[in-house]
Amino acid sequence: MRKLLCLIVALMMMLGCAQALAAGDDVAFAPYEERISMTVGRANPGSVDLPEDADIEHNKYLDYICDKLNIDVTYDWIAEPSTYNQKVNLAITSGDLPDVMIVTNKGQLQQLVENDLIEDLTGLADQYFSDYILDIYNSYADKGLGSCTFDGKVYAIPNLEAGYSYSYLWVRKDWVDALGAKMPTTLDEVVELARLFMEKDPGGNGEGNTIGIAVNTRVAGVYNNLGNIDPIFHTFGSFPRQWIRGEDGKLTYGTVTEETKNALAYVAQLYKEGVLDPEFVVRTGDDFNALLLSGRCGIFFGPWWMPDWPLPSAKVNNPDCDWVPVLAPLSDDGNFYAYKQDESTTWAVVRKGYEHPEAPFKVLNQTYIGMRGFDPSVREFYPDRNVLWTVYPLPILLNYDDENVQAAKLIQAALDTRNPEGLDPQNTNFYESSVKWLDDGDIDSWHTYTSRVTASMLAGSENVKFVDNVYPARTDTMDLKLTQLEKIEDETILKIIMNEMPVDEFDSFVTNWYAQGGQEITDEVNEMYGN
Amino acid sequence: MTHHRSRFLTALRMNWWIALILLLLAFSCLLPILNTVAISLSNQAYAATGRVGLIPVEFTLSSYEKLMAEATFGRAFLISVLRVLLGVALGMLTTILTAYPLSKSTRAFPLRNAYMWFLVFTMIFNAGTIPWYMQIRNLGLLNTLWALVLPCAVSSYNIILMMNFFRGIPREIEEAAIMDGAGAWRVLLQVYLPLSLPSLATIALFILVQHWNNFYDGLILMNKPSNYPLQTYIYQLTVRIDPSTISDAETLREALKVSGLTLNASKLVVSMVPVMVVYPFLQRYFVKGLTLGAVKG
Repeated sequence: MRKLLCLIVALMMMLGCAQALAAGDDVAFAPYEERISMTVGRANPGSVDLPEDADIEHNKYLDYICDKLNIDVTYDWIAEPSTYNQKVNLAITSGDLPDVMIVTNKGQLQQLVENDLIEDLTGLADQYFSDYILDIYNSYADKGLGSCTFDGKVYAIPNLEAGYSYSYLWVRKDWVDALGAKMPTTLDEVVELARLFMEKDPGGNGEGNTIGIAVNTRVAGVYNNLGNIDPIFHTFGSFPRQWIRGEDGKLTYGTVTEETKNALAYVAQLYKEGVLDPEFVVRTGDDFNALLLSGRCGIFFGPWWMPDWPLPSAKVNNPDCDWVPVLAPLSDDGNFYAYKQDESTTWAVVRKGYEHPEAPFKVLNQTYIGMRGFDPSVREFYPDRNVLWTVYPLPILLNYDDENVQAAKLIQAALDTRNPEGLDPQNTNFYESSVKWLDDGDIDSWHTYTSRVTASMLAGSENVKFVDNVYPARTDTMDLKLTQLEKIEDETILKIIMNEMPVDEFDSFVTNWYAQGGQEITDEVNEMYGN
Repeated sequence: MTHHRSRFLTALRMNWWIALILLLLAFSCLLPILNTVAISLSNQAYAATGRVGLIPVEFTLSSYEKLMAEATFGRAFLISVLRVLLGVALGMLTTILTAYPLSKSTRAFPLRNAYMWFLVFTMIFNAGTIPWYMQIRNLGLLNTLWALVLPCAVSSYNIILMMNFFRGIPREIEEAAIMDGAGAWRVLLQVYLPLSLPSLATIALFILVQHWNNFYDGLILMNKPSNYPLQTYIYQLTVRIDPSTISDAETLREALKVSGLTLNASKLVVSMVPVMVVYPFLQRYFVKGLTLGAVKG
């Protein structure tokens, strides 16, 4: 009898296991038997191109989620991005949290965890995410859920931002050709070309009106940014404003290093000679763009998406204008050094006590079926429109780290044979635009081909080497002293470049920086990463 | 009137060069406004390259179309009009009724100074955003039109302005009215108010502009874009060009027609319009010296 019982128990356990194994996507997409409600707090995506009779609170995408999963999503509040953190603070202090809330600030995420206001979601990702989404998370290994793991417990659903959006050189190829020059690869060649542009004035701006190298007021150390001159700093081994892990495993703040001093000395010399835009400190973002678009400048640094924005206006303004990306300047060893992105900057959290903490996982599963084109019926919702994906209730963007590079390779392969078979819907769009530019010379399609194929492939070149950098959460000392430290940092960088402060004073800035709290912050960050 | 005009013309003939300089100066004040209007009506590609001066380059209304594209625009406009109407009515009521007693001496109104300090205190000390938000939330005003109107219904600044104007009206006029048997209400309504038209118009204009231009309270106190007043709606309208989503030429062409630059310019124009429309109507109240010569001896 007991044997029989054991057998039955064993059989039942096996059956249970089999069920769990087969579950996978069945659980991920299973609708609730009874309609459940989910209130959401999120940022306003602005104009997402919905028709007159729909808006962000009422549209077919929300109905889609409801039809497929039986989850009725309503918005507790939709706040503006500019005041978003404030709105989340108000929600936290008033204790009035929506069931699911988007958080865009790591300090707030920490605060929510420390005050025990949000659900522990440990294990739910493996259990409820679809295979498609799980694969993206797993491709980042520990970093996938690392940003929201506290003491081994997972407290949120983080976004995953694709990498390879570091800056490299953009050059006016039509100017290079007109002057019979060659494309630069080293820093000296880049500067030489800038001098040539200023001297020969291929844009016809008049004597002394051509800007050598454009730069924005932040100068360096902002990821995925138009107008930083990061690559110049990197050839000196300098990574301003970034936390870099050295060979001994210790983390150092990139601004306060000998390498940065050398790089600043070089850049200050460029400024003195007038190669670097002499008026860069007073230019707004719009002014900066105007330099590139009106043909007053032929050299700047930016990531792969420059052709999508702002460069198309340059093409409208002057169809001959030909901005091309170049993997330059290379370091002496022939490599191009860059630092990596902060993978997770947005998190979805679940209010403590919400009965269905797994619901947001399911919403995301269905969202990705819709937005990545796996369900063709979604395209028929508003056929004449190009509704942005942020219309979905949980705007958590998930991409593979090298998503753009891989896509570029696939599109290029398809272009080689002029056969788009096997491309996913989004890449098929890019393919079609590329063909329009390559075969018909359609100027409006230039940007897609250049950004999605040329520039993205370039970003994935083999001689690109990433340094080991981290994005630490805010520490206690940062809360107290970071504002002041960043102020002296910004001032020193600008003053040295503008020759208002001798380079030698950089050393006293470093001493100051450590003395005014930098040392404590460095210790805290090292401790955070287990040093 | 004709007398005035001929004198003006004579002066103009005599000092034509002074007139010319002044006219040029006046015109230079208009230039930035004209430039903004021109940018708002231009194709953004040209605006972005800085080629637009006083005349639109490649005329287009796309930025205005973008501004008014969504159903939310009409609703936001209506909310703004309602808030201005309610706000001005309520604001005038509280300003007049508070300023009038405060304009009296402590003999007539013993607690005057206490009330005065109470008002001034609120001008200097401010609790901050979070208590303000919690208070309005606890009153159940979040997401309602009243949240935009009630919290700013009493303006200490306007009250002090109005009070000082009332004080400037000669006491004798009031005394004469009282001798004729007028009560406090009649003195206020039939003596003080008609004599205060210029400052009433000024304060009405202040309140109107303040209500029309305020976007911040809408941003914090309204939880849904569908409840935004016009300025908040306009404020959140930015062209978000997301490189990860622009794939086809069509979207890009649309995005390129409007950009931050042209859209911002059209936002400025739209926010200027109502005040420019209302101002001429209010101007006839800006008359000086109504009480001049009212008191003899």
